[in-house]
Parts: sequence; C-alpha cells; structure tokens
Amino acid sequence: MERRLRLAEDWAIGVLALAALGIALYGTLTRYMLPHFAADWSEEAFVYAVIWAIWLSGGRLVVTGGHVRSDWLLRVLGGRAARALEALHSTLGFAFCIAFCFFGFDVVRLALQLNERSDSTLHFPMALYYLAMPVGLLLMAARYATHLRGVLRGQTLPTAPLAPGAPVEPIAPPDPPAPPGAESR
Amino acid sequence: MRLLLTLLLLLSALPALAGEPRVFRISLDTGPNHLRNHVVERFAESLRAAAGERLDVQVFHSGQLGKGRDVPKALIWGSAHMGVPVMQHLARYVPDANLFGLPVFYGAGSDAVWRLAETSANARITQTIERKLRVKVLVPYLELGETTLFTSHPVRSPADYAGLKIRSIGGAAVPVRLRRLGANPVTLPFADVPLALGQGALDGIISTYESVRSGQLWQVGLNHAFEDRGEAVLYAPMVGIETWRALPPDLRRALQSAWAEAAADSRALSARRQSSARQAFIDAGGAVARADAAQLADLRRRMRADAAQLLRELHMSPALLSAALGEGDGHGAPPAPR
Repeated sequence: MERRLRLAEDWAIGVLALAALGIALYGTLTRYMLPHFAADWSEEAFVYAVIWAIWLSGGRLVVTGGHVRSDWLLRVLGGRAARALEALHSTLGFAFCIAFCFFGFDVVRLALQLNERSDSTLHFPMALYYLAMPVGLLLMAARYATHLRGVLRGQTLPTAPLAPGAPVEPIAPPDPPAPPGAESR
Repeated sequence: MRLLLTLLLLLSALPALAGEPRVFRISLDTGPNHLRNHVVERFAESLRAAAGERLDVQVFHSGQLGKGRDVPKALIWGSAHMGVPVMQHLARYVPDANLFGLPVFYGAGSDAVWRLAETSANARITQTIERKLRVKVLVPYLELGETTLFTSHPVRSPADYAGLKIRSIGGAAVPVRLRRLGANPVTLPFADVPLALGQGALDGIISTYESVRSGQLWQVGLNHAFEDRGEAVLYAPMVGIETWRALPPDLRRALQSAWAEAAADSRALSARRQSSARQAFIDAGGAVARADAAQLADLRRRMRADAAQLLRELHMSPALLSAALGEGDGHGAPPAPR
C-alpha cells in the first residue's frame, strides 16, 4: 500500500512540477516573443501546480524525516528518550494535520458554496486549488500514524542528513531483548 | 463545526452582555493615503460619534486583515465586519459583477457607469451579492476614478492598442476588452511593473493618475497617457449579514447614514485628487492625449455586436446586458438615471 502511494505521489509531483515548468516557460516566452499568444492566466496556473506539488510532497517528507525538526536533539538523547520524543512528535504532528485538514476542508466547502473562481479569463475553480491543503495534510497525517506505529514497535527512526550531502545516520533501535539465559553464557 | 461556531458566537457576544463595546473591524487593502481609506476613516469617525460606547470601530489598512478579494470570506468568518472591495473582485463570486467593466461600456465615462449602477440590472446584481455572499451592501458605491492607459510611447487612438503588451487591472473583463482592441493583456503584480517595463515585457499599464503618482511611474518610462476613460473603478461597501443582524435598528440607521454622509462628496474628492495627480504627471514631463468620443462610441457599438460571446466568456447571465442596455438609449451608451 505504502509503495503504491509513494509511486502515485512521485508521478503526481513529477507531472505537476513539469506542468509548472512548462507553464512558466510558455508564459515567459510568449510574453517576450509571441505576445499575441500570451495567456493572462499563466502565472496563476504556475502557482496552482507548484502549490499542489508542495502539499503532495509533505507526506513523503514525514516518511524520510525531511520536515524541519531538531535532529540534533534526537541524536544527543539517543535510545529510549529519542524514541519517546519521536512518539510525542508523531502524535502532535498527527493531531496538527488532522485539525488543519478539518479547517482546510472548511475553506474548500466555503469556496464551493460561493462558487469562487479566479480573476482571470481561466475562471479556475478556487476550491480545486484550496483542496491541495487538506489533501496534503491528510497524506501527512496518514504517514504520522504509520510512523508512530513504527516507533512504538521499535523500528529504525529516520533522521534527515545533518548537512547537504552528508549521509543519513539512523538512530539505532533499542537493543533486542536478550534470549533467556544469555547472561549466564 | 456548527457547535464550534455557536460557541464562538456566544463568546463573541459576551463583551456585549457585559456592557463592553462591540468590536467593529473594517478591512481595507490599500494604504492610509488612498482615497478609499480616507473616506472610510471619515465614516468611522461619524459612526463612533453616533454609536458612542456601544461600538468599538477599528479600521485596518494595507491588507492587515487580508486582501480585498477575500473580503467576502473574511465577513463570513467574522475576522472582519465590514469591507469596501473593488466591484471587479466580487466577480470572483458573482460573475455578473463584471457588468461595469464590460467592453460595451468602454470609454462611456463614470457618469454613465453611475447611471448603470441605478438600473434594475444592477439592483439584481446587488441582490445576488447580498444573498450569495451573506452581506448587506451599503449605498452609495465609492468611485476611485476613470482608468487611463499609460505607456512608454505615444498612443493617440484606440487603434494604437494593437500589439501592445498591457498590464491589466484586476477582473476578467479588462483582459477581454484588451484582446478586443488587439492588445495583449499581461498579469503582473504592481510592484513588478518597473522591472517589466525595463525588460521590454510590458509596454504600458491601465491605471489611474493617482496610482501612477503613488509609484512615480514616469521615472521608469511611463511618460504618455491616453485618456480613453477605460472604466470607472467602483468600490462596493458591505457589512457581514451576521454583524448587520446583530446590530440594533438605531445602530443600523446610524451606520447607513454615516456611510452616506462620508461617501456623499467622494466623487468630487476623487476628481480633485485625480486632477492633482494628472497635473503632477504633466509637471514631470508626461504627455497627455485624449480619445475621440465619436471613435469610442463607434467601438462600443461594434463590441455590442459581439455581446453574447462576451457574456459567455465571462460566465455572465445572458439576459443581464440586454436588461442594462434595454433601459438605456439603445445606442451603446448606458441608460439614463431612473
């Protein structure tokens, strides 16, 4: 399931980023060289694509530990304390995402109710744009829940690199319980 | 969600129950020196005087409570209680609000637009705005002034629009009009205009003398003005319906009369400010050309021929324009006052 979700996210983010690049290129080139073909909506369409891509990438960043956080503290604490902190962080992250997802859907609901459209001749339905936020938060909440389960089960914790290009140093899982009678051998 | 909103409403009512003044926040997205802010400050003073200790009227300038186009949502959410958004911004929610910027009224002048505001067609638009956005629209509207085309090289007739790259003001109607005139509309933030002019990405902008003076845009090459009275920029004052209903009848009356009083001479004030900004433009070496009225009337007639397509493009009601024009003189000019 996770693998399929990642694949879908990768494709969606890639397509949106390429679309944003294409729209920006089209807008710039037509503005300078072929103004008759310039669209009054290229800038807003670029923003829609980029914002959707950013929100969709939030879930992946939870999985890889890529969101801004104090990795240094986790490394210093290590072991059970780091694991407890990670569990607290995941719980708070999950609660935050669910709460803001709720408010995000309210924004979408209002935009639908008012039938809000963009100012340009594109008349883009703004609800579709605002939807990026609750969808992104929902994906992040799902990943925080999975992550919390992993932390509680003693799986390896992901941490972001300390510096660009530096290798990821995973925090070691707690020592496995010693087999019965191991102390005596 | 409803429970949460009810609790929030109850909490917001506590100060009133305790005898404290009810907070009344007004959201504006222009700076304190702007005509709109000036009028709203006068309105706020009158309202404070009339309401005494019962209302704590606060004016928020420069978009502190959000952008102008988001005013209707701010009123629904209660983060603001009153706003004065540009009519074109309301077209995001009610496409018929594009009526005042339609190419068929290009060059008709602000007198004609004010007459249009008094038609039954606009009364229907106002009703739709009030119903859909859950607001109370106050009268009269506020006018910033007529727009002018400012360019880096001379424009002497509407035919000279052809091929120019022009920054449009907000709303979907103006880009449509620019295309009809053969120009290429460009959407850019106002702050990026000087750079775009320098790089050749822009030949001109549609704006008012007041706005050009505020940015001293003649310094970046906008030295030519073509006064074609493109459209009159109107602001629609509105109060959130929940706020409106919560006010006692005497405060509602006080609010309406304070607004009517503050906005009464706003057209004259706007004309004075635009005139002084125009003089500043000329003093700075700007050249001014005026469009020929007969040419503009002819353009309006030609654009009317294409009105059905125009309304479809802008997602407007097909019957709206005929309702507005049906009350006019039948020759492309907006109707006479009723």
